[in-house]
Amino acid sequence: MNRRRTNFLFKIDNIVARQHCLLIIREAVTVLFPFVLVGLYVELLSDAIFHKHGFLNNIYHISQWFPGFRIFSRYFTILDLSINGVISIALTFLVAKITVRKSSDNQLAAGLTAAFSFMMVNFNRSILGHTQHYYGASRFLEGNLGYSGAFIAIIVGLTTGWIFNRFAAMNKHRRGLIEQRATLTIQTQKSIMPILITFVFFGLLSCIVSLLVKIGANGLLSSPLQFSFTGYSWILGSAILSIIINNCLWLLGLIGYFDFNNASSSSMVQNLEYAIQHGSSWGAPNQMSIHTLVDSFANIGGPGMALSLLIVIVWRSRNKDLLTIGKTGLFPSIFNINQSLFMGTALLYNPLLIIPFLCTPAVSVLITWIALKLNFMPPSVYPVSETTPGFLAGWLGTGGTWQAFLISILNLMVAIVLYLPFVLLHDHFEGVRKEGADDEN
Amino acid sequence: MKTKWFFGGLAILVLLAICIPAYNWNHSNIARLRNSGKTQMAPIIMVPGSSATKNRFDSLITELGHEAPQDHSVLKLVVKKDGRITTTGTIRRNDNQPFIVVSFENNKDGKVNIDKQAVWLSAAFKQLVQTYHFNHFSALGHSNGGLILTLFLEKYLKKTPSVRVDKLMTIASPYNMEEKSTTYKTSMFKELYAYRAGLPASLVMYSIAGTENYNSDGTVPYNSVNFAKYIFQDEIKNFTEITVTGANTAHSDLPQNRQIVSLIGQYILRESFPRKQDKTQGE
Repeated sequence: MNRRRTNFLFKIDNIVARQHCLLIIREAVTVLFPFVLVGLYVELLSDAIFHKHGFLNNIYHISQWFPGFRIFSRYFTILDLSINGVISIALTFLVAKITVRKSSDNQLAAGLTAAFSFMMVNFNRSILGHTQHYYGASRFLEGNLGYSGAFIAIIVGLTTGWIFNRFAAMNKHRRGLIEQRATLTIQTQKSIMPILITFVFFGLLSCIVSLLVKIGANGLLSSPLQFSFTGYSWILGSAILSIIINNCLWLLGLIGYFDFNNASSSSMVQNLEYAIQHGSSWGAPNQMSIHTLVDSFANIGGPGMALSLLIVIVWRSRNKDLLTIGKTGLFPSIFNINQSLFMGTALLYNPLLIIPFLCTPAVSVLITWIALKLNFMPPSVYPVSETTPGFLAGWLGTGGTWQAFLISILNLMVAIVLYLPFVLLHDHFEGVRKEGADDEN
Repeated sequence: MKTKWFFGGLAILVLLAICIPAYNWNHSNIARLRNSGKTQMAPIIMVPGSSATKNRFDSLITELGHEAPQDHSVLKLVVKKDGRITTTGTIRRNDNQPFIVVSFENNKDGKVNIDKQAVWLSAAFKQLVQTYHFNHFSALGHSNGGLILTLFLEKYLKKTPSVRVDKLMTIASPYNMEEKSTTYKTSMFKELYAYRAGLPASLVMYSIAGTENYNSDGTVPYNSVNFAKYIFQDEIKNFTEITVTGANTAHSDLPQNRQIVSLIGQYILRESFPRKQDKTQGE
């Protein structure tokens, strides 16, 4: 039994090496990693320090004494939007380029084709109907060019690569030493077919989608994708379910399908007004909501209690790649600055972590639910800025009750304990693989 | 061993350096929320005119969405004939100026119906205050919606004394119904005039008239809109009349008329709009 379980876990640990697609993605992400890292720190500076609602700005009043605050703020916003805001274009380029490795001549052409196709897919469909009176609207869904477009970027990249592998003109026999430099004619002959096929395909796809779905550029009129949980009897179940589904989607790079901030907005407003009138959040009308359960206590450091994962990696992992990720990501993660590709890299290098990544937040929700149910702590009602360190969000959100702080720390500890075996196991498997490789030699 | 102690001590120091100012900031924040008196949230209640549904303001809201620097969430209420209320949409957290559209199942024209609709509006209003705990709001009415709102402010707002109205804007509201004459007074006007003392003294009011020609917007006579002055002048803090002419000034086009959209942004939302329309007109 135990052996079977170990085998099962070993298989998961090996999944990236066996799945060609995942291997491609891992390679692309590895190339992209330095950029992701720079983006991470730029976002940290831009959101936590040089932002009106940044946590560090709020508590140290940086804007009041720091000379040139506004200039810095503008500077980092530019960097943030220009790196993090368009990173998926780079991702789709890399994925396509790596996918066509075998017929190597077309690598760059495939990457570029994928980048163009990606833009086609993210065309802003809502401007088609408005020929006039549509000032200032972007032609592309800019939100999808950043991290939230990663999934589409990967799909577009893989598809483009596949089309190139399939339809590119093969001319191995003609390729001699003399033809090292690709002439214009040959290059065009080789790549024109797959380029055309890809463009026609994605153009058509985007066109069909635009006929079927009308997504406005601004989510002004309430969108159907927003889930609101009103059945309070099932709040625990729906909270756990939603956080697991959300994290699953997050793994795929689909971010924000569950809008936890807004899911129970009216109950939050009620809670806040209650607390303002009564001077404390004890006894607020909506004790259990997605906000009081998930927002403040199950998202410490980012989805999947990312902070505790990074702590475990830094603390116990001996794997060099994971250590790099852990050490570089720990500090931004304290302020909830955390990006899907960054965590995705960690999970691609240690697929075992997917298991605790999905389970840990559910455990945190459960602990929080019990604490609220037993009236151990009041629900968190006051607004806190998004860059508030996760382990302080509950404490500050309840207006500074020590019980909430304790629960946050408890959640963090439990998450660390849950992550630990998987990190250690990965190191163990790594050792086993190395031995196997040595034996073969 | 020594370095371990050093890092442990450093970590605790950093934690304290974050926690103490964070706690202070948190408390000043809560104190500010508590002392502001006015709630953070101040919805904009929109009432459509006769025979219009809850979706009457969609194009206006979309137009505002293209230009306004901030997104506003939209909640739509329909009051049934028996007083039951159905809602669609949600109010987003942190949205301090949500749009709330209140419409009526019986949305017919005529004084009898308008009187009824004002009562329904007050029922919906009561429920909104109970749910969202706001204590001030602004209002926007198109056509007869403006009359319903005026009646509501005159007669029914007093029933919730904790709530004040900041601003009211009516777009092409016929205060003297379809009457073109400058002297004849309809029973609707007489009622609005009789109760005018009930209007809150702090109200700031804008009455917008659209005109396609010199005397009407195609449906509502200019003179009827102009009758607003007899009701509001000297009863409230500020009363402003604005006449809009040019393209899209037919009665039903007015809510999405670009000039009116920017007037709404300027006076009701108090947001600075980019002056894009000037640029394109210059082209």
